[in-house]
Amino acid sequence: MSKVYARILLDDMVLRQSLPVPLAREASKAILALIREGLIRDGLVRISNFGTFRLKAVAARQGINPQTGETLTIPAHQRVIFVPCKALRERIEPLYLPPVPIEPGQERPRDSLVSAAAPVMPVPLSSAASPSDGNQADGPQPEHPSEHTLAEMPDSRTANLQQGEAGEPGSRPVFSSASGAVYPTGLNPQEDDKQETSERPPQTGPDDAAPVALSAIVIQPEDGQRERPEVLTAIDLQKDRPIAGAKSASAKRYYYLGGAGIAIIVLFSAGLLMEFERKDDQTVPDTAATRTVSEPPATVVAMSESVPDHVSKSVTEIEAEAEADLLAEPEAKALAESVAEPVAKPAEAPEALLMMEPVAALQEASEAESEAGAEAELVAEFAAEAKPETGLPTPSREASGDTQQAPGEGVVAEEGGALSLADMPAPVIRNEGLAMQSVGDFFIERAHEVARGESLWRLAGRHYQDPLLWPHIYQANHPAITDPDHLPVGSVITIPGLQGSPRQLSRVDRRHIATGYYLVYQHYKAFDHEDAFFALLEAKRYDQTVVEVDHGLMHLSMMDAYQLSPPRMMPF
Amino acid sequence: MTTAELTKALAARLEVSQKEARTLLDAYLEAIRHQLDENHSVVLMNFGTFSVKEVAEKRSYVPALASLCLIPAHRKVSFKAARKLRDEVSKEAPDE
Repeated sequence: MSKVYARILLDDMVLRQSLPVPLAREASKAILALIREGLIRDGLVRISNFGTFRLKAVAARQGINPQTGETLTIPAHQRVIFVPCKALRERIEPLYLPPVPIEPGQERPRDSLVSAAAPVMPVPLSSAASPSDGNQADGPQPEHPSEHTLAEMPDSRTANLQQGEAGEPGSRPVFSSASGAVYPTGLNPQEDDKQETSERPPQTGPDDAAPVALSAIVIQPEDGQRERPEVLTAIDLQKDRPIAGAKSASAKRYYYLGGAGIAIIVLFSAGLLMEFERKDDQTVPDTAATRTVSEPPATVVAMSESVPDHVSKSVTEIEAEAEADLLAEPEAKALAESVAEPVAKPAEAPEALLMMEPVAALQEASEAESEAGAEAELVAEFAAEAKPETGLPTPSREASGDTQQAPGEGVVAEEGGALSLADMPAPVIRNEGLAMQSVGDFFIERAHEVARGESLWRLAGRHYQDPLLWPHIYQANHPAITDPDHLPVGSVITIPGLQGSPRQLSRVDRRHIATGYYLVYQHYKAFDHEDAFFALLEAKRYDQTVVEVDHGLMHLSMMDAYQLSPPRMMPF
Repeated sequence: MTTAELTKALAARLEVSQKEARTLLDAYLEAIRHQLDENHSVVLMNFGTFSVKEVAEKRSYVPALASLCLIPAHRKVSFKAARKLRDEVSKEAPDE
């Protein structure tokens, strides 16, 4: 039995019952404060459908200090008592069994269980073939029907028992004199058998071949009765444990679903995170400089052959500039220094579409001046070559001093994106198909005319080789495209570049993707889409700071999320 | 204090309508009930702890049936007030 705290209640109110967060928070505090004030003022607070808080006066008494043994006086005080209301009692213990009279000297009431009489089924019972016989502990049987005045008591619980739970022979006291129904063997009070309850399994029905199945036994209540089916596991029944230990069916369902989901998610994210963290250990955060280390993009690269030196050098640079993500100068410097390292490594710079000439030019330049001391020229050359391209979003845009909205909105913000489009060597690209094969084109920002049957998922897969990064595209086009599930055919959207690579997203990329997810969440939330919450979780996963702190969801764990609202879509 | 009074006071304190206050109250209590359903203990700081406890079966006299009875084992909701609440109500409540 685990403990939960106020935070879980808040999350329950906000997520499961859809209340606004600040109001929910204020309400929780106010309710408890008011109950306290009510107790002080009246001594009694009765809340319908919950219970009653009461004060009870306790007189002063003598007590003993257990450690020293000396007597001390416990002063008179008030004790706070809570009595749950009937609805709450029944919810916690739906199989509440009324007390059964016994003889004073008797250990257990006589069971009028087992008889070989043919069962008469007054109502169709789904559990008739699966007898549960292990409930000896609380399976008292009425001794004599006439003595049961309880049957006449207006007790909805016993009424439920009579009609709903008749499929469990031997485990219910049946006060059927009022109902007049005839139940399968063992439940009819007329049968006055004195068989010991220790006979297990009893021959309680015709289909008794496998007395206790190893699967959970579900008692289906009748229509109009309690809507909560009770799940009893075979272990409970076999071990002669009271039914009181059974969990609710809904709880079990959530646990199973949550457990399976969590297992899959943990494995999946462990795999993903291992990839991220393995590289993150080397280079903390990613910038364009490290991008050049891991993945040689077609243009910028002067990738050094001595990777360790390069890495360590750029790491120190990056750590020095860890706070400034998008400042042009430090990155240009870092780039320059990385460029100055010996020998450009052609690597996998293959037949890249757009950047062949500049690549060749740059590589020649870098090779020609690979010695240190030519950094300034290289930077100038690089910048000069980068500008007309503008397909390199990182240096050029940052050189112009854009802030973090740059990657996404650099194109969209300007009128129709004409500025960068005009500078790009290639016109609007339709149906790239296999065009996006070369490694290292992720940073290229391009415009794309939506063709029929295309989706953000597909476009992300084509351009980033990872469809999971589709929110990056979404957030770049957000005001223009509202519905992530519907791209109007023929519209021109921006496919922004990634600062890092799909396998090694930079912090900025993660923030963009988190923003994208958060926009998706807001959009879904507006019309109560079932994936809204999942989108929020993903936003939180990519970058926590994007999720509003006031949302109160920063502490939500995956397990809580699954328990509260299991998403129907698995995140892959 | 009844539920109606509690709702009224809550509406006044939160400055919302009584209907909304009732909704909030119901939601809060439903959240507690839900956690109890799941067999969790609900710990509310400086107020108390709601928990689900198992009661063993026992024999006791039931006046309604006018006989010694076997009360079967069951689960119950129990509440233990926090020390702060206990002290406050003891100190400020009018002695009865």
